[in-house]
Amino acid sequence: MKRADKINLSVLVVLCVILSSAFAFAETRNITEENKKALANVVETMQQTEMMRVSRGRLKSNPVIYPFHTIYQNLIQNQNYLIKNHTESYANALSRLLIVREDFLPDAVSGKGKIILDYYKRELIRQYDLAPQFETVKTLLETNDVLERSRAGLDAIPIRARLAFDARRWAFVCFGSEELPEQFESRLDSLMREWKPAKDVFEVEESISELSLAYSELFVEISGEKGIGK
Amino acid sequence: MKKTFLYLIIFSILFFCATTHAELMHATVELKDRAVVIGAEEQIIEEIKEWAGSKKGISIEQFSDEIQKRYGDRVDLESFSTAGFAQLTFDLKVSVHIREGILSGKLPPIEGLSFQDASSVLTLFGYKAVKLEDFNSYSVQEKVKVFVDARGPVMVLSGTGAFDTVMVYTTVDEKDR
Repeated sequence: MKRADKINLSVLVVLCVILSSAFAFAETRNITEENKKALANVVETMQQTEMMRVSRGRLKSNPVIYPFHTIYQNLIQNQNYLIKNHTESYANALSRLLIVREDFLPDAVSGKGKIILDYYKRELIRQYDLAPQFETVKTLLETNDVLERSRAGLDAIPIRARLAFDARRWAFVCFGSEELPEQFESRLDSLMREWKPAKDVFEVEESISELSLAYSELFVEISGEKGIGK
Repeated sequence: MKKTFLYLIIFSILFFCATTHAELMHATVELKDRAVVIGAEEQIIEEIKEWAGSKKGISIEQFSDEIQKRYGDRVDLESFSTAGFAQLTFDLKVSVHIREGILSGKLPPIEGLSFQDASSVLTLFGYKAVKLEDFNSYSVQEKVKVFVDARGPVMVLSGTGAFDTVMVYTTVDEKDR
């Protein structure tokens, strides 16, 4: 074999390796199926743990159920229903996020705005993926809380995105330029990531009010710096 | 002793003169093409109103020249660019719950703030904020004054405790923009 042929062959081999590894990384995940399996696993494990716990170390055929009976029953018997609801929350949140994109054009598709939108899309996946969130649960009640928090978190993402884009829209008016000051941009960035986990509508409302207030206070600071008000 | 007493009286008189000034009153006069808010002592306002009433067709330039000639700096004039006072209406452009306004990008972030802080933020964007109860208690002349000061839409904030609704009032001119 000639030297040139050898080089060509080695290049071909390297290309094949790179291509195969690229395909391996690009493997599509079915998070809904993963969630279903994760929920089934965690419920089964926790069921055993709970039985052990409530019967003082002795396994019984019927677990002793405490006041959270309905939640226990729901988790054990209605897993498909819970996963369906969870998936619907994801789909709703995604479609609402796309409406946010339309409402805040052109900010949402250019420069930093696009980065923000991509962040919230990743945040949707992170909230939707239950397996990592189930890692720390110790009881069935906590399993239910994780599910509730995940759904509430999904519901809140489009609202968080709207708050972030509203703040940016008015910041551009306030600073009157295409670029925001670096310090202000980093404050907006940290607010974008801020979220106090909530597990029902009341807690979601509380968390959103806190977040909205934080954005408002940022603008009060700016008005103070510009010599308005305080 | 007598000298000190004299000084005391003189200083008291000077202090009294410095702190006491005639309270400015406001009134609105309707001209041919403008509404003019006059700020002056009550007696002067009465004189101007009487005089302006007999000269309905006068233009704003003639009016302000005449006032300047008669009263000098004792009168504040603010003319309001509208075709006539009868047409100067306070149109409710939008009434929006504060959360809804913020989420749709129509309002800057002012949720959860006190009236004072919200007013500062709105001033940052060139808006004037007024409490609903104040706005409702204003006479027409005072409302004209608010709009003249604002030079744009007026945000009327309402709600119990922390306000929760913003009503944006405009004049006909603003609405058409």
